[in-house]
Amino acid sequence: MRHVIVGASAAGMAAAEAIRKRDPSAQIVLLSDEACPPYYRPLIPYLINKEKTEDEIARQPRSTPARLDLRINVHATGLDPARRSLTLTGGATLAYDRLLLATGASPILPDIAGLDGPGVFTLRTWEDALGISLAARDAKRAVILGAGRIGMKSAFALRHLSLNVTVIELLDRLVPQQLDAESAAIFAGAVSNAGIQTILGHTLKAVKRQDKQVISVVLDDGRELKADLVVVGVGVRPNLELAKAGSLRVGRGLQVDNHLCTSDPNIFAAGDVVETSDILSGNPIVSGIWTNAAAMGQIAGDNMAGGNSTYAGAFSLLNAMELGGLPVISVGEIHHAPGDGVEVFAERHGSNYRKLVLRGDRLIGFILVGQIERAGVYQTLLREKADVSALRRELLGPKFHYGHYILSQAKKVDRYMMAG
Amino acid sequence: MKRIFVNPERCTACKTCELACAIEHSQAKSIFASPSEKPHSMNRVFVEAADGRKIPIFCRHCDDAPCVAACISGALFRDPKTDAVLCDSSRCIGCWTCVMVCPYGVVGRQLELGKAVKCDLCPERASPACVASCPTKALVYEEVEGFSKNKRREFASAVAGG
Repeated sequence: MRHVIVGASAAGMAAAEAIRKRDPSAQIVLLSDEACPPYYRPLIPYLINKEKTEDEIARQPRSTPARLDLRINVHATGLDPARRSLTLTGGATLAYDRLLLATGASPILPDIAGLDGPGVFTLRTWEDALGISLAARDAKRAVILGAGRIGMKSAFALRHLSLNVTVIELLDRLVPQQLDAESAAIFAGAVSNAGIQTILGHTLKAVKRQDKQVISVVLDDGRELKADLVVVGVGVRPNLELAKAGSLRVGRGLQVDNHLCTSDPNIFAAGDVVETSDILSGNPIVSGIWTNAAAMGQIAGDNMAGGNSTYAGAFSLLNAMELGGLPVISVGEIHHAPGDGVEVFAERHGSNYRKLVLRGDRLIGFILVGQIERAGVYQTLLREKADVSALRRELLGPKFHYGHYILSQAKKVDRYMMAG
Repeated sequence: MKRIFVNPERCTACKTCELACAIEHSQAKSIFASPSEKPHSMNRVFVEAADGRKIPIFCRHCDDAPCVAACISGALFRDPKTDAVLCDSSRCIGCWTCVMVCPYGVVGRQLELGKAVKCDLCPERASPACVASCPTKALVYEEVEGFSKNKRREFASAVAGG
């Protein structure tokens, strides 16, 4: 059985591992369109300020399945599901028995005058990070468009290199998808302490250049900021070219069933390219989250090798980060306002913040800032859609732990005891 | 493959396991010197109580461990020899994704180092420090295969019946 996987990041690698686990003799061909060895994508901001070497962000052998036929710098350009074959650059073909499309996503470049050109970067690949690192050597002022994870990580890395850094965000707070107003205010303190400037509620109208060098950016209100380096982090869109070439069913992303099988029975998909359902609401989502991608890869890989694993859906928000010395974990529906059966409990002490969102007897979202211990227990309550009515008092207290959950349900005790 | 099992009925919440764990994972490995060490040593087992019942909570070294799957830096990995889930500190970047996904809440944070800490089953010992120190034998270290499902179920129902 020959498995071909397109994409060597979280989903592709997790799938390769799951295939190998179920089928020690399967042939696994893994294609990467990047020229570097497989690496941990979330670590690329560290390449900007050389906080880590290329070796330190590369995937180690212990986290790579045995006998993997890895082919880097290979672009799959065509897909013929009837012949079960891929076309590669140069016209060569590659046959498969089972195919996984883990083609990921690409950064969005908004329609802003002068944005597409030298001196303006996105941050998605190893190559991108090295490009920014090189450009930063001669730069004094960086402007970051978008205060999401990528924007803020870029901002901290460039600030670390002593650049003057300004982050511009259209919404009224930093990391708007992961933080509410209160937690964003705490985070803003850490950002300001690091010497990073922020402009909220605005976007860019134009990027100005002189002799191909960026010299300034113009804001939507006409303000002009000097800049010699711009990083854009306003989101990603799924890489659907190959799926479309194979006439697979696509919506906002590549559509799959709950076994992560596409409209073709021999083709599976996992990761940022996939349109899946939100584990909480059931609504279709395209998730750009590493943890979701790894989970999908594992399930798709298992099914490709003959397993019968079901995917329960992705979290639209499932994020942990520490930036500027401030740890933050946010999961689920954190932006829900109270009312209509939804209760919101929030508590702040200095830079510690805890917010729990409940709908009826279920926890549907939480944010932890500062003290993030045992966050996984809350996450498990969400994932398992647990009835927390018997746990309410403990859940809302600061010392909620797994003991409360396990001792509230006989079945849980059983699973804990039987594990191992 | 050996794992730690727990009989909560025997647990008196004396927390000897927590202390023994912290000492075992210190430089000095001494009850006198270890507590003042920097960076300070942390326990990876936690005795918790609810409704007057006690239970030690520790890493289950899960099959398909969520922490290993979710780790964004390759720090968490499964030891091919013992199947234990281990954290390679040199790779850990302190992003706390493991803290977010561990169902049992047993991946801790060493704040002075900014690194995740978790149970390693005490690789230098025949029996993990928590098990060896438990005065009531609430913790046992057994071959998974030898420790029959019935026996485990007995342990489980002790709590469930609580």
